Parts: sequence; C-alpha cells; structure tokens
Amino acid sequence: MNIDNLKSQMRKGMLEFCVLLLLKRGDAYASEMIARLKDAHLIVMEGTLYPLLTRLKNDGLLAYRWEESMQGPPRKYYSITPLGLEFLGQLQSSWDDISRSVALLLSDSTISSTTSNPSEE
Amino acid sequence: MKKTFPVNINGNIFYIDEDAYKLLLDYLSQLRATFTGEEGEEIVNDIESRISEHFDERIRLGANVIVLEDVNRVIETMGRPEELSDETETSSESSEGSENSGQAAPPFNGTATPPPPIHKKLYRDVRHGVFGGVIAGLAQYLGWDVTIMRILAVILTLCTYFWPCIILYLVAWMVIPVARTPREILEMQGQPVTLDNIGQTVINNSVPPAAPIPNENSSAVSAGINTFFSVAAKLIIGFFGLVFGLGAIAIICVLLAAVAGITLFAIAGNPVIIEGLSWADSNAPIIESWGYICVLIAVLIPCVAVARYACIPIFKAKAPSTPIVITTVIFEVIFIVAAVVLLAIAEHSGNSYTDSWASITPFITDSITLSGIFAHSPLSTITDSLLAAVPTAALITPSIAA
Repeated sequence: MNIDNLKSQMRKGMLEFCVLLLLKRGDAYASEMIARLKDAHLIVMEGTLYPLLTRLKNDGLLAYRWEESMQGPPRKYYSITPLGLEFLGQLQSSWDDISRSVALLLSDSTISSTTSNPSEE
Repeated sequence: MKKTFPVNINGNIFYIDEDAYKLLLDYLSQLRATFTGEEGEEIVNDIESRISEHFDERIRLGANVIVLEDVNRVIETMGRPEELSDETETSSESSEGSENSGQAAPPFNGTATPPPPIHKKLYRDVRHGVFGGVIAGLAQYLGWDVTIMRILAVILTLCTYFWPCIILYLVAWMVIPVARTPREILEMQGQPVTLDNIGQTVINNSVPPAAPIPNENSSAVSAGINTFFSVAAKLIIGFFGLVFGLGAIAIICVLLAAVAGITLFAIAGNPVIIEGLSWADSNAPIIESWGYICVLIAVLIPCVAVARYACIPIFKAKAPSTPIVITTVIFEVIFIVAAVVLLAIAEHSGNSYTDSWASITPFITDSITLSGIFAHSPLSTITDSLLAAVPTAALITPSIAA
C-alpha cells in the first residue's frame, strides 16, 4: 500500500466537505478558495479544485455569479445553495462520527491522541 | 533571441515567448482532451483564467515576458492533466459511494496510473538525417542504430543496382512527414507525450536544428562514419546539382535558338529556314516545333528544381516556399499537357484540321492575307503558326513573369 496515495485519497475525500465549509462562511471566488485550501494544506495542485467546483455546481450544491473586480477581468463568485447547506449538514454529522471514532481509537492506542483532531472544528 | 508575441488569456494581454506559448498551448489542449464536454469546457476556461492570474502576478513582480520557466511553474502549480483526471475520476467515485471510497479507489488508481501505451510513429528525422532523414527516422522507428541502418542502406543500394532503392527513398521522402513539433519528435522517439517530455523537447529544440545533435551512445567510429556519410551526401548532391544546372543552361540555349528560329520562320514564312531540321516534312511544322519547345521546358523545370534543391545543403540556402513549389508543379503539368497536345495535333493534322481551325478564326487569316507579306507562303502554314503561337505565348509569358 502506497502511503502517499492513501494520504491523497484521504485528502480528496475531504475536499468537497471543506469547500462547502469554506463557502458557508461567505461567498468566494476560486483563487481565494485556493489560497485558503493551500493554507490548510488541503490541496497541492490548484487544478484539482476546478473540476470539483464545476461538479458541485452541476449537482446544484453551489451557484455562481460574475462580479467585476478592481483589477483584471470579472471573477466567478461561488456561493452555497440551500441544497448545498443541507448536504453540508449531512457531511458534517458524518465527519463528526468519523472523527469521534478515530479519536476513540487514537486515545486507545497512543498517548498524544487529541492534538490533531479538533483543529478542523 | 526569441520570438515573442502577445496572447489574450481571459481578457489579459501577455507577451509570451514562442516556446512558452507552444508549451502552454499543448497543456491547454491536453486539458481539453482530459475534460470533455460542456462541463470540461467550463473547467478548462476556469483553469485558463487562473493561469492568467498567475501570469499577471509574474508581470506585477517585474517580468516583461512570460518565458518557458513561468509556464512550467504554472503547470506545476495547476497540476498535470493526467493527475487532474485521476483526481476527478476517483472523487466522482467517492461521491457515489461516500463510505467505501477508500476501498474503491485503489484498484481504480491501479489501472489509471500506468502511462498510456506508446504509439511509435514513423517520421523523417531531419535533424539527424543526411538527405531527407528517411533512414534516421526509420532507425528511430525500429529502434536500430542509425549508423548500421545507413551502412545497410548503402549495401542494399549497391546490390540492387541503385535505382530501386533510390526511387524507394525518394517516394519515402515524399510520403513520410517530417517530425517538426515537440509532440511529433516524441512520437517518433516513442516517448510518452507528457508535459515533462514536451517541455524538455521544447528546450532541446531551442538550439538551432541545423546543429548536429550528438547521439548519446555514439562511439567515435560511428560518429566518423556518419560524418563520412554527410560529406559523401554533400558531394553527391553537389554533383547532381552541377550536372542538372549545366543541363538547364544548355536547355535554355537550345530553347532561345529554337524560339528565334520559329519566330523567324513564322515572320518570313520561308520553309527553307526550317528545311534542314527533321520536322520539315511534317504536315504542321510550326505546331510540332512548339510542341518540342514545350517538351524542352518540361525537362528544364525539373532540372532547375534539382539544381535549386542542391543549393539548400551546400550553400545553406532556404528551401523554396510552398506556393512557389506548387506553382512550379502546375506549370510543369501545363507544359507536359501542352507538349502532348501540340505534338498530337501536329501528327494528326493534315490540311483538313488546319482548314477547319482557320474557318473558326477567319479574321486572323484575313488580316494576314491582307498584309500581303506572306502572300507567297501557303496559307495553312501561317494559320498553323498563329494557332500554335497564341497558346504557347500565353503559356510562356506567365512562366517568365514567375
């Protein structure tokens, strides 16, 4: 089992959830999201985000509008739809379950268990 | 020094180097190939606008021109198409069965990661070639050593008494395309066409293609043999160029003499001038002689072409542009057709032909009879000369102008 592969799989599974979380806080355009996600070490390649955004939009979880910017061409601002919010709620509860399970197992096996988990909350 | 031109990416204008532009173009077209359909179009457009932002930042930081390095860096940041497509496939998998994505993904990955099967394509390798790069291209295609291929080719040529191999070579030269773009060069070498490779090839290509590119595994002996081949090739080309050039000059002399003779004959209308020539006993001597002139020109054009092409490797001259080549070929065909038609007319024409032609153009014959100069010559010969002169003049004038 390739460790890098597994790591990126874990991250990928999280990405949709994180994008929705990001947009719940406020509308954003792709480059802002990229900056945030990069800060959080969630994506490495920027190109990854665009197929995902388009798919979420086509599924009706996101919507976008064009907005003029001070510098350069107009930007695509994404916002979360009510359907997206509902979807996010389900993901959130699922995530809580997972993190609780993992935390339980971590506390079972190692001493320094709880340091990494709550950082996302 | 590099060629630079402006491009509009998502409404921003950038000046970009030619090689960088090629790489970017290739990247975007690969993205388009990866993301298909309406959705794909949108994704690629979004990525394009992000690339534009990256370039914009480069410019704001003080760069004047987008160079190859910038494009490579942007590709690095955005991700290669094969990585991105892998991303979409696995994540679409995970969106279907959110729980067991961890199990579903690895086998999926396993099939996706090996690079696509390599399709080697046959191209002419002009950068390593002696004449047209046919043998070098073939060696690349078969994965053989170029030197061995060349020696084999020479032996084969000697064994078959030259012509079959030479004709085969010339046909191959015409049929097999040249590997020009980085993508084609990679396909020729049988390397996978990935952006890494393309970028590398673009960099390698930026050295002038005329410079000999050393083969990685070439020994001193094979290098020496290859030099011998290229010198021998230049000698052969030079020899042919000289022979055909001299031939062309000789043909031009004969042509001028023939045209002068026929014109004289047409004006003076005196069959005595032409009597000494072989076609004097023909029914339509003038038509026949114009026919021979067309034959001469049809021979002259290839001679000039060979001499011209011989100049390319020897004097490092530029190859003639495609329009010129096409025009020349068209003229060649016209002259061959004209020669065939004129000679056929001359052979079959008795007086009946020319009389019927003369009746179509009575005003010409009238004006000629009126002038009275040609009163003593048979009418049919004069009409012959005029009928032949008009189409040929129409043919020769544009060819001189060209």
